[in-house]
Amino acid sequence: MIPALLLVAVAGLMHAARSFSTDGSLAGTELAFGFLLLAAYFTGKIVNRFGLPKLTGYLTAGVISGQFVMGLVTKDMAVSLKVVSSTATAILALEAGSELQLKKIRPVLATLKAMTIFAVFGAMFVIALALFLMRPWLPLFDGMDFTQSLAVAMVIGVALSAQSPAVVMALLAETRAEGPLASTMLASVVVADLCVILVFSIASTLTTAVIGGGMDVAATSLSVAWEILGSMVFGIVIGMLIGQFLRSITNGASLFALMICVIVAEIGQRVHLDPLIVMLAAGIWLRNFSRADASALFHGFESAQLPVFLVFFALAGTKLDVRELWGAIIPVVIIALVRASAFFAGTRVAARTTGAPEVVRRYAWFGLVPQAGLALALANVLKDTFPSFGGKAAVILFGVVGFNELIAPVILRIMLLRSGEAGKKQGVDFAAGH
Amino acid sequence: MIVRRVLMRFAPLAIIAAFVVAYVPASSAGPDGSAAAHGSAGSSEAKPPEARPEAKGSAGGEPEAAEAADPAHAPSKAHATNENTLFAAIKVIGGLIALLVLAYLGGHRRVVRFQNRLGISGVITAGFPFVAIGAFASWDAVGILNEDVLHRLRPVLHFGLGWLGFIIGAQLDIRVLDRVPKGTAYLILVEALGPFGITAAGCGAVMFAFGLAWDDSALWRNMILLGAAAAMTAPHKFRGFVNRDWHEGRGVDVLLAQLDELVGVIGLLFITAYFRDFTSTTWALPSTAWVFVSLGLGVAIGVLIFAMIRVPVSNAEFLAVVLGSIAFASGLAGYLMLSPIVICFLAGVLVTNFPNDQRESVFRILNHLERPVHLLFLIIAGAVWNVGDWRGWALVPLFVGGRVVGKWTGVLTSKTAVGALLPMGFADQRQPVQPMSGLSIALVVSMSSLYADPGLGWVVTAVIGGAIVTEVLVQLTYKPIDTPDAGDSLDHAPVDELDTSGPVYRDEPHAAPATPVASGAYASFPAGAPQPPRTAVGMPQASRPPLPPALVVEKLPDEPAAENEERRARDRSWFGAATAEPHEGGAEWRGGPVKRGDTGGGDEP
Repeated sequence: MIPALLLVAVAGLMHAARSFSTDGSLAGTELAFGFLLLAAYFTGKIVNRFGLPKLTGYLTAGVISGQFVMGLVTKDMAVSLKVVSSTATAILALEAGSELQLKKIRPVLATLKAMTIFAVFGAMFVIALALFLMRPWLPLFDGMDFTQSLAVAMVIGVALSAQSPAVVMALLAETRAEGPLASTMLASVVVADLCVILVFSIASTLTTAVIGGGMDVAATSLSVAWEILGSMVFGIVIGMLIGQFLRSITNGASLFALMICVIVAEIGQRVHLDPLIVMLAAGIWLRNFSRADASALFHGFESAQLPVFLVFFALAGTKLDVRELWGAIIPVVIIALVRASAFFAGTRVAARTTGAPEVVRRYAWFGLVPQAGLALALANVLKDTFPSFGGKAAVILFGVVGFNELIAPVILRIMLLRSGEAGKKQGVDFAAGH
Repeated sequence: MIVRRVLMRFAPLAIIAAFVVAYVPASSAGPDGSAAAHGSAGSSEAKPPEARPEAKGSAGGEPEAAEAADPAHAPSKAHATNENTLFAAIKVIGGLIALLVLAYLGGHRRVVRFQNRLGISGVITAGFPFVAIGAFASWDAVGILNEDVLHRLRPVLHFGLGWLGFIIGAQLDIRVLDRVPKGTAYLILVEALGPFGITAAGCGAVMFAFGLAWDDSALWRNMILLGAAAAMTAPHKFRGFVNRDWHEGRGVDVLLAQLDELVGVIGLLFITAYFRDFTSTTWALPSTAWVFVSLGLGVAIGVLIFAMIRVPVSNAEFLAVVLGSIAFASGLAGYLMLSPIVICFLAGVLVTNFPNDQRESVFRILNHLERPVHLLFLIIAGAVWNVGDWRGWALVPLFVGGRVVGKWTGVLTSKTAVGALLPMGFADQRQPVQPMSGLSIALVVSMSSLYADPGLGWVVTAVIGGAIVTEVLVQLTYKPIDTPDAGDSLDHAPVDELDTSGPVYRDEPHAAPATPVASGAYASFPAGAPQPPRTAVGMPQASRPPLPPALVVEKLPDEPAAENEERRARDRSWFGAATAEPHEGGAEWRGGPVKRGDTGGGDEP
């Protein structure tokens, strides 16, 4: 009751302030930041009472207050908060990397490899095939010949197969899950993300060549190599830098690491390094190879990162156009089901062939289903890179992402609870706040 | 070793540097500023969908749009973008490295020791390296803190101002007002009004001579601004914005510094109400109504925050709520073109003066942000400082002189009028040359973010230059007075090394945490003494562990409740000093000491 009243009060003040001026540049950034933070926090509290994940509350707060529903947070405000979502991605990647302990992953390495092949790459092809078969009903394929349709279906299929380590990490934290399923899920979703980034770069270049542009193979290879390998090398350097800080100085490490995350998130993109890969590599280095004890750093991060994640997911919610989602609901649901089925089948095959534990066999596939930032980012890349069909493709992508944003966390939480791994992790839970 | 020391300086500068980088204009990074330009997926989860319109906007115009639509043009465009992007990134990284080197040099222990030898430890001089960094970074050749970047830093600045207002308000325990010695209010009033009036009048006349018209509202605004900046003082040893709540036993300068900041807050309240730009808003209210809007909003936000901080069940949640509340409050204030300092000040006063168990937790979180916010102010102050304008420098002697004369007049007046009422040493401790408050700097930085006119540049120079000159004068004229000041026992230290959360070398001989500064009336923690465990969120006051006996300062005996109430009723009016009986020398404290979290009102029945 109290969270609901406070939520109404905060929204009322926001509404009153918004009536003052239409110029969001006045102080819209901090206003939106504060509002989304509080609204997401209290909405999370409310939905949690109904057994739903807090993450759903964060997203719901963004959807309702966003430009497509109440308009309390305008598009300009959301754009101005880009730095927050970028930083959140970097922090998440650092944390995800630190969770990847090679000793723990080694037993499930075979399953991981098989999942990557069967579930991740398999899903890309299955989704592309489904799109190709559905092309008479999808206007984005109008006027394209067979080869062009195939190429376009492929690039959209890759974009649609993107996962969300953010959602998985948030739910693992919220449910405090630990065990083979949690490890496999997190590792698989991180590896899948890397694969999607790599394959999308190749697929988009091929598609550009097929639909009329030229293709510079050497330049493309160099670009992809720089992005992937350069990011890894840079990430290791970052990891060594943080490690050196930890070894030399007793405190201030959280602030230092936060600063690194902000800088990587902002500068990384400008020099075509992927912040996700950079910080992931840094986290893996710190956890597995550095002589510094980074556990205190990550523990400190856990208690300080809730504000960033509240805004990150609420911001993701503001981008969800529910009317657009409703308008394209049939193809969206079909594609979402095909996508989930591909992950399910691929993971089952992978788990069976490698003799994975029962809990992995039954539930690991769903870790690949949630979507958030990466898929949205790829939709925008498509829009920018392929003006002829990118806009229409983005509608489908936004629809599928929105569908998965709203549905997947709920199901994933149920699966984690059923798996028996929930509540096994000790320590601070940033999402649950315990 | 050098790397380690650079790293040490890295941490305090971290937030500022990060935000500077984060807000470097997208235009300098090329049309799209991301890997999206060449169809790469490298943007990962960081890139929101809105990146496209932004990119489109920066590309601008239909020709570019048509070019973008043609894939054949993409490679050459991407190539040009790559070069621009790389150049911009190198420039930014180079600038950052330069900033770090300067920060390292400015905060190096030898420099600090040199400062100490000179006896400078005030608000500006101790942080002068950071002001210099701001000035350097805003230099055209460096171009890091250019106008566009400063504009993009406004959200952070607003948040910092809100934080500052909140912490100043939160430290104002209004029960102190009932307990200050007789005559103190008069002392504060005349000491604040004197410098305010003389500085404002003197500088106003000079600004008029420089070309500002009498009917130009900017002149009057600048006069109020300079007057308010001159009126506020800081304790001799500046410790940042936290840990300045006064209690019995602390020096009078701490009390006055805390209370005369109200002058700055009130000045801001009136400036934002009466010097508004009405062109871009939909609310048509008379200026006076904006005073009440400010007060009402501050109270509403305060009540809301008070209710919200009772919800969290963990430190992580508490951090989220406090940060969100201050950001929301400062955002609301900025959106309504009001002062975040004023709104958050009111909210802070309400939050910590209503009985609650979260007070310590609020302070703990606020303390964490002390250093980054303070350094941010100093750097931005340096960035907006137009050192080359001689007219600003011409105001400096007037500003300093007006301040000294005003303080001197105030001290004389108060000695004459209420000297007999004041506790022993109260008036004698006052000196005509007193350090300037950190809020003065925040005041001009705040105005720089709201208004833009030539006269404001003069004000910035007058205040920063005046602060430096004042602190030099303070060192020349300061006469140490032996006062029982439990909280002021630290040696001079630079502003960024005062809180114990700062970097500490692992292999340093003094790697143990620095001596904490007591913030309550009861406790002063000497070096090496065990600190009581911190209070968890929501932990009831009663369940807090007791302090070690050695740390408990003797408590003055409480007066009987009835007698106390009678005395308080008699002395309620500070200005009715003539009706109150003069006491016979010495500090007479009414009621028991005030401590943090003392929700019962100390000596109240």
